[in-house]
Amino acid sequence: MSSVTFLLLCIYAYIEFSFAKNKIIKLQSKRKSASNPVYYGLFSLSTSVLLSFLTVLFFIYFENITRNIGIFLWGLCVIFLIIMNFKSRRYINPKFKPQKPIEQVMEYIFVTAGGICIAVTAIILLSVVFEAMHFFSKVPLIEFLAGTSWDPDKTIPGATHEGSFGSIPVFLGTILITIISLVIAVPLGLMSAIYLNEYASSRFRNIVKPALEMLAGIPTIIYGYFAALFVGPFIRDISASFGLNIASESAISAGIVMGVMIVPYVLSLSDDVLHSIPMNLRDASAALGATKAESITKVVLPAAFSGLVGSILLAVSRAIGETMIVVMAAGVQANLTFNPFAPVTTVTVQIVSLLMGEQEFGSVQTLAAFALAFMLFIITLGLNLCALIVAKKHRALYEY
Amino acid sequence: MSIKKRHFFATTFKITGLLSIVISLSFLVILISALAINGYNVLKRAEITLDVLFEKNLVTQDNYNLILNKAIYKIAENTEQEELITEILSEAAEDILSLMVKNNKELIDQTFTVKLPLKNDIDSAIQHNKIPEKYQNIVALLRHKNLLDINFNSALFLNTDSTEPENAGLAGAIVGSLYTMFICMLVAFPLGVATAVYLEEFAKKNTFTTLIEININNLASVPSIVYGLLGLAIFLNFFELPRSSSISGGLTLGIMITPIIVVTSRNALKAVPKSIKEAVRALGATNMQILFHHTLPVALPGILTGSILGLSRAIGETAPLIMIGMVAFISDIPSSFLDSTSVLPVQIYLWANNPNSAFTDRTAAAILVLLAILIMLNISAIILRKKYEKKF
Repeated sequence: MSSVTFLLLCIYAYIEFSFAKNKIIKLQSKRKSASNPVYYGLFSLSTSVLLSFLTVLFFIYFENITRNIGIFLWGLCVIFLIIMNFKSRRYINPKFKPQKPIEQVMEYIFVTAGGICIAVTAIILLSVVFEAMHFFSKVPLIEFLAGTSWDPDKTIPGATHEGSFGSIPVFLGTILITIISLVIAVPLGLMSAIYLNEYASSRFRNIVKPALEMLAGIPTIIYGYFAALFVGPFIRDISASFGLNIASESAISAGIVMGVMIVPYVLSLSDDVLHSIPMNLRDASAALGATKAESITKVVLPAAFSGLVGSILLAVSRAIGETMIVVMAAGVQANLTFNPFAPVTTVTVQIVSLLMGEQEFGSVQTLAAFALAFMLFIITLGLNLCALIVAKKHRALYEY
Repeated sequence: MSIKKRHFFATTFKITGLLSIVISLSFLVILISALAINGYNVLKRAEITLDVLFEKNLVTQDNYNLILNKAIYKIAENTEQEELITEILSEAAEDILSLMVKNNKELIDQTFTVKLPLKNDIDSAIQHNKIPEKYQNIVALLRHKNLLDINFNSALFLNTDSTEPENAGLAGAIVGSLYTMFICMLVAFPLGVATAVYLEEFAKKNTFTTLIEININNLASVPSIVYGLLGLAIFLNFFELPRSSSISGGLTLGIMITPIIVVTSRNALKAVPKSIKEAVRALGATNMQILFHHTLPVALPGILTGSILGLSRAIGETAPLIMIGMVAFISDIPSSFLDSTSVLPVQIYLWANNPNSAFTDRTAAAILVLLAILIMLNISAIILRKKYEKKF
């Protein structure tokens, strides 16, 4: 009901707009108007329809109170339209200057939109912090940070809350999978970036770079599917032929696929960094008789070191926050181990599994998910800030 | 080191670089080909043609079992064949018939030629020519009578999700994705572009704005699961929007991609040359006129590209939507923004976790659909950028 009214109001607004614009254009034959006709149209539109829009919004928001008085809505809207129409009609004449008030209102709209966005970002921060604090009031911080047993459903006799929430094995799982993915991604990404930057012709670069960046655009659920259905069984079969007994859910299958996912990030960031090193360094090194490879390893890479560290930090923060690959390929069992062939769980998997169960919202389990998300947020924030500082230092050295 | 060793190192270094590019590209090739090989089988399925009379009294009794049996009786030559045909027909056959009547009431008391799918294991056996002995005769007989053929699996695109893999389709997921993306862009695009304009043009440069910039830049790289938790805490718990609906999913994804749109729009606005703005100001234009008539048209390709990239990121996101409860089995196409719905990546996740291996094959086909949509989006982004780009 109210959506139909809304639509009709929009159509009426457009009619008002064109009506006022045409009236001014006609009146311009007698005396030149003070502003562009469009502004008159906007003025007439906004004044006549504003109150009615507000009434419709009021009715939509308080749907439960005003459900049965839809006729009242129509009546109010029509009354407001008629009143505002009569009041604003006097203003549509060449002497009136609507440009300044209209532009002032537009500026307010932009400021409000910026304010809304900023408020939303603040709310994001606050809600995660709030729920995490709620959790830490139930489970002491020390037990969360230093405990080694993660079992949300275990009932401990004599404890104040259900389950044990020692997060060290969970974070260790994240670190293990991240290290495996970096072992794959950093050499591949870095060497590819070096080749693309130093050795490749521009035609080669124009074809290969977009192709590799396609890897970054693939949704992570596809990598997760690939890890769960191809890489996991593949590793299990290969290990069986060696006599070992590896489950199909292991840290290494998730780590390999995550490494493939991060390669484009490392590649494009390193490419930007290497591109920013000025040519005169390479030319000077060549003038002293170094081969191209020696110039790269002894001059360019040390010069680009801080920028490369920044790009690796950003890749790490991407890997830490990755959910779908590990949900599908790694396990949910919290294992305190450095063995890459064991099933481990990560922070993101635990967040998903804690919230998939049918727990009510305020229970310790759901709050534990918020606490984990809070830790994840802080760690990603820290890594991004470090990467920012390192990148600034690099830029200061090379003045760009 | 001798010259020879240095040259050897130089050549090996170059080859390592090329090799790493080849390995990375081969990952892409392996991924796509594994998906194509697994998904290709799903594009066809075996179907039996039956003439079905939708008798009025049986329809009102909801006794589609008897309707089906009568249709089978017409084509079978003896009771043994009837039993075999009933065995190989899909268990979803009755649901298909009842859905046909529900959609088209005129079928009652009419005879209609229907193509019904077979059970999934028989279907794959027929396509790979490894039919079990028990059914070999009946299959040969039906083929001989031209009643059994292998057609394009239109159910994959026209049906909604179902418990039987041969009848399961992506229609509900695709429509749900469309609704969710609509709400997402409705929230993120105006908010993101307006914020970028505000930060770039109107905000004074003090520590507060620097803090906001750092905040928004960081939010662009926060893991997506945090946004899912946010959606859970705010939209489901505080605002009490319906769980698993496209409005809560769209709002969550909208908040997730707003920082991305802000960052890319800011870069696009920064790239507008200052000389244009100063020149127009010298001619007496107001701030708003400079913005709308000169800055935004020049920055528009960058802004559009950023929004399309944000949209393609949102289409593939699964984790935030799992957090707000979109993991239920939904077998209808959503009719409003408040209905429970599923989206394409979550449907992929559900099918991939299904123990039935037929569903995991269909997952590969669904992934190919998702990739096709993403490729179309990215190509349109590139075309838009090339069309509206202005070089300075």
